[in-house]
Amino acid sequence: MKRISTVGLVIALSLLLVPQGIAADANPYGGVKITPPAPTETILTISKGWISKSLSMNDLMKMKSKSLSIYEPFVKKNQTFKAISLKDLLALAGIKGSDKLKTIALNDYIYTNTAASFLAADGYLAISRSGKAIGYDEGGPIRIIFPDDSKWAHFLDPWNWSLKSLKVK
Amino acid sequence: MKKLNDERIFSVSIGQRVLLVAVLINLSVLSFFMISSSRFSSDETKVYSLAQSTSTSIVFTQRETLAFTTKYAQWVGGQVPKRDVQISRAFLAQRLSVITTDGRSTGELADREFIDLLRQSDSILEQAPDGILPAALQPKYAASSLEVINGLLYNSRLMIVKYQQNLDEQLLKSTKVRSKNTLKSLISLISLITLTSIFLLWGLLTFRVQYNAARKKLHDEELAVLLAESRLKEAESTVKTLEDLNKTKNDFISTVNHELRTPLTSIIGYIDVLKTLDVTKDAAQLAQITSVIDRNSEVLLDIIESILSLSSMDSPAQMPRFEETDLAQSIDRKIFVMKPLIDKKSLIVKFYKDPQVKYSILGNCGQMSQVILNLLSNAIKFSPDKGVISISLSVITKEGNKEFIQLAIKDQGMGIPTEDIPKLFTRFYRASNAVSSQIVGTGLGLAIVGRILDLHKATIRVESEVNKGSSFIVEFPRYVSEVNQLISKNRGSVLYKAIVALKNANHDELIKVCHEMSGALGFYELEPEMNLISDFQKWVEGNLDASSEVISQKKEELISLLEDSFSEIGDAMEDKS
Repeated sequence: MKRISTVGLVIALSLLLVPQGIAADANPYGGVKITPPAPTETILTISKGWISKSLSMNDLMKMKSKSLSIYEPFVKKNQTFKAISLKDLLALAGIKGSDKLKTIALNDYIYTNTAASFLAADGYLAISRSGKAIGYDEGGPIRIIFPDDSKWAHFLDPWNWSLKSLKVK
Repeated sequence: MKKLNDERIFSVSIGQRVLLVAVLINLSVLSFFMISSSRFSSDETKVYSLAQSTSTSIVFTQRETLAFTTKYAQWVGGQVPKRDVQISRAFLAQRLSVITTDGRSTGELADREFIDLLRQSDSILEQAPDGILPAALQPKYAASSLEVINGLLYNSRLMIVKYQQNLDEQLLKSTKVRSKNTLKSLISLISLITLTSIFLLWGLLTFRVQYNAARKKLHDEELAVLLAESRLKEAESTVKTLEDLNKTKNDFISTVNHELRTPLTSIIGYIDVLKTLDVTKDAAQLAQITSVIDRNSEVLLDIIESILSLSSMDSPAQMPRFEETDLAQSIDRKIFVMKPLIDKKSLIVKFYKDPQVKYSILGNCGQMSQVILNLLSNAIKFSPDKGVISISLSVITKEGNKEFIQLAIKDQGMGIPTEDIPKLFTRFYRASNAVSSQIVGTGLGLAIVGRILDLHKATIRVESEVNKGSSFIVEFPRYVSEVNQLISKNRGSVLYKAIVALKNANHDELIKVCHEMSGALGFYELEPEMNLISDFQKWVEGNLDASSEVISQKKEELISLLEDSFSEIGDAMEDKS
């Protein structure tokens, strides 16, 4: 019983010491903590014409992903993301290379280019950073990133933060 | 020579060296300014690059500030939930955390007041209930939020303005620095160009002066070398002449010694015989010995006279006087002088000449007599008894229409071997067949002839065939007196004037004109033309009553004939000229 109590205390202390939801190196200009979207809440819509695919964080977590360590050009430091290939995501709505893809953020920032360009630049959708959810004040919860060897590694316009939708007219 | 080597014609003065150093220093300064300017441009480029990146962040910050304050105002008005405002706030926070190219975050560019206002808004939001703000609370939050919203908007604008001012200041500063650098470079460049120009101009002028001096010196040295060479050649020539003269003298003395010794030895030998001879008993032998002594004495005398003659001709101080000499007359005289010898051998001498022609040359009468005498005596000596000797005089014209008098003396003697002909005029040389035939001679006769002809600018050549005879052909420049030259020169113009005078003469003047013109033509040795005019004059005098047409016709005929003559004279004169 005593042993169980000790284990329970260690777990409780661990939960208290490691904050949940946001990374340890929080944005110094950040405000009040924002509750992340619910795991089942739609956070990304991929559409092409009549085809539309809504995805929650849970959906995204289930998709094939990879760990990607890159030099993040905005904060200028190395960061490790869990990311899904845009190729897989675009395939969900049948978006082809010649399609003109519009990436739209929560703050309505839009970047448009052909899907082929995104694929050629080896684009990814980051869904977590260092094993944690990406905060809104860090471009989260989901954002577009490119590997260091991508042709768009230093071209910042397509690095869409807080992505809301991928749309082809 | 040492002095010449030591002299430095081409040199650089101290002033030029100083100027060159100044040019190099100036060049270094200019290079320094150029490098500084280049580095400054590089730094300036960095500033521009920074401005572009930072300005992009500031513009986005402005955008996110507007979005946040809009959402904030909408939340206070109960239009959007608190979460929307918080998300907008998060975007602004994200934008402020972006690190710009100068290594600072965008938030660091913002005023402290801007950050404080953001914290104030955070505090308000934290205290407010989640979701849509209830209408009852809106007035309360509106009052506190209005100041925050206005403050944020003002500060975001201020951020841009301050940044722009800072950028302007930097640009102004860089422009000033650039201008200053440009001015320095320009001054340095002008200075460099000026100094370089002065240096080059100075160098050019100095070089020109030095070059001229060097050229003059070189020229003087060349002249000195040429003069030295000339003197050396002159000296060499003199030495050669003296050597030749010495050799000639030695050869001459040796030959003369030999030639004199031969008859003299004979004479002395026979005199010794005479001493032992009994004159009463050996009368016949005595006569023979005296004859031999007499002949050798004549030879000896002849040799001595010839040597003296040659010697006098070799001496420049004893140049004979030249005058007009009639060759025909000289030949006639010599034939007369040699008549006893000619008759002794029953020879026939034929002298061919044109009695109308004057065979005058410019020469020395005595020397000409000697030439003719020597050539004629040789012909007599080598001719067989009853042989024929032909002498001829003729005038020949050679290239350049120069007239020469040709004298040819031909005999029917033993002839001369071909190989002996080139040496015939060498002193003491005698043809081999003459020596073998024991024909008496000194070998000086033709040498004297050759020397005299040289002095008279005459030439001689020998044509000979052994056992058939020899011909000695001499060519002298023909002598033309000044009067003859004048006559020859003016013959054409005199005849032309005569033709013109006849053409212009009327019938009354004809006889007078003919008389005057025939006299003039006679003086200028135009005898045929003179005779034509004289004949015409006589005809006019004998036909005074003839009609003017007839006289005119006769006159035209005469003029036609005279014009033909004039053409011939003209052609001849043209050839001569």
